[in-house]
Amino acid sequence: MTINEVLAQLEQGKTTAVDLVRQAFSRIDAVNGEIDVVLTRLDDRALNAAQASDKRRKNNKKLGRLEGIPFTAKDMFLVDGVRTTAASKMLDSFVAPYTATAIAKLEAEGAILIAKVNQDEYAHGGSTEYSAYGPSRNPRNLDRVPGGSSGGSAAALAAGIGFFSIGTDTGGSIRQPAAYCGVIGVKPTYGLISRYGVVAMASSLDVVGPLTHTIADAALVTDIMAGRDEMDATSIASGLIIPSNEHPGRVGVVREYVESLGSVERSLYNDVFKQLKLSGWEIADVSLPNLEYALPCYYVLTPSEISSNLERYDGIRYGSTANSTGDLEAMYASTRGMFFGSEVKRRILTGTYALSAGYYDAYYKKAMQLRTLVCADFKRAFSEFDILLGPTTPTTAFRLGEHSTDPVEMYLADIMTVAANLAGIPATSIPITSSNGMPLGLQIMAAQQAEAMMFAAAREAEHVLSVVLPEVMV
Amino acid sequence: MNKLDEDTVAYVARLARVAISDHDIHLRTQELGQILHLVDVMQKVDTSGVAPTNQVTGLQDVWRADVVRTCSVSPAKLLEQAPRHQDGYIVVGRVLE
Repeated sequence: MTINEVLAQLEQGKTTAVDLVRQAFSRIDAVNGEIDVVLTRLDDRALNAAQASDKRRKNNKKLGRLEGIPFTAKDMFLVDGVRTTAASKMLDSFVAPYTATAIAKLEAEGAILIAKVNQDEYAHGGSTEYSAYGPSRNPRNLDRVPGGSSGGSAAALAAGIGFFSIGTDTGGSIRQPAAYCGVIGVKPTYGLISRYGVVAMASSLDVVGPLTHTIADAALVTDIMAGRDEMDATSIASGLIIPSNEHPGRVGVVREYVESLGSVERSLYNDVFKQLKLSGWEIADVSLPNLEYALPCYYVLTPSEISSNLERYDGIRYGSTANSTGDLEAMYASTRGMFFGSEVKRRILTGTYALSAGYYDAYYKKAMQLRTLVCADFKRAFSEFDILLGPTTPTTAFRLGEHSTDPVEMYLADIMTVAANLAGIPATSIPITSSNGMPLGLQIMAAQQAEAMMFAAAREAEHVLSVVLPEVMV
Repeated sequence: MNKLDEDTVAYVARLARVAISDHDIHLRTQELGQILHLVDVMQKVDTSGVAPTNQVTGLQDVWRADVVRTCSVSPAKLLEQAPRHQDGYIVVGRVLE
């Protein structure tokens, strides 16, 4: 069910927030054993919030546009008094002392947080297999990963736990799991939603965004979370987000992405573009020649920023600590050696190397220069086109364990999503059907702060393609 | 560019304050080599004269009024987060010999 449908039922008295929250928890009871998405349940907190919501509705004192709607959040979001792990043993017993702005804004509109859900540790990964608490599974095929890093969010939503989820996207971590699980995932313009209270990964790339069943829901949740926040100096004022009558004028298909697909996927996407053309879209090919450098650029900048951001986990101020009898430096090293997982250490080492004397110019500076070239490609493309289209991922969800022996293989799953983060532009993934029955994603990109245009195009595509996915397996 | 040995990785691990066993250094060196191989394709692009980008929305010098505000979190609550604390202070290991 969509948010708007549930709101109508609440309005008509056909259900209550308490019922919705109870149903969400019984859904968790029924399916979590199979898909392993929940890290922390918030039973008491959610039921209290639901009772308060029902009371407000009865007294005609609704808080706002999400009154009584249960949702889940990736475990990257701090919630005052609630365990927040980022799926790392480093934060295994960390209880957040304040609440993220994104969560506070949703709760201020009446939304009810029911659970913190699984992800790759510190959001480093694309399958949830790097979670310190074990992988989640794709509810559409339990042998497959749900994607990541916001895999718990996508899998929970697809499995009917809550009516939307919020995740973070540094290089595709909302759009890729959305594509793999057959839901909508939105990466907004960099800075549109405050990062205050969100565990940091790569600060020049990290964004917060929603996962939903419809574009109307996605636009609503984005609109609520958006806006300048004094607590995040990189946040920007929110413009028009919910589309009215915008219509995408000129639409470009990113040639480099389509050409890199296998033949089955390529013909599948060409069919999608054909359908959109038939519906009246003016579509042409566009080339972004520097896209081939986006992934290497991303895998230098991101680990570099990670190595810096994760310095804070020192075993002293908060989080886990190793019982070390040695000096301070030995305590740092043993704490970080003991409580960080493999992929986190890989990225810290890569980043430290790229930033170290002697390699800085060849790696970090070089990657920042390539970022300029990738940004310029997008700028050029958006001077000609309102919307750019491409696949979200090269393939459908891979099998659990398929990429576990080769960390670089896992990086390649991000190849079509990282560029939007480097350029700071908004991008949405909407589901399409594939030949093997698993969903894929159509990626719809727009210029910075052109969220209304992006959602308008996505809404039309949603309508034209009217995708019906097979029922989930759980 | 891709000359990576175990001593370099051990040195980088020391800089990063991450303990890695001698046994793991070999594996880590291999992995870092693979990752550098993936990103080394950057080197074929001539970027001379290209300005580096680290901020994409054009923000510059973000200011706010210099007004004192109370932190929403009490010092006591923050202190409780520390694995070891005593008498209002965080306890750390020995720094000086």
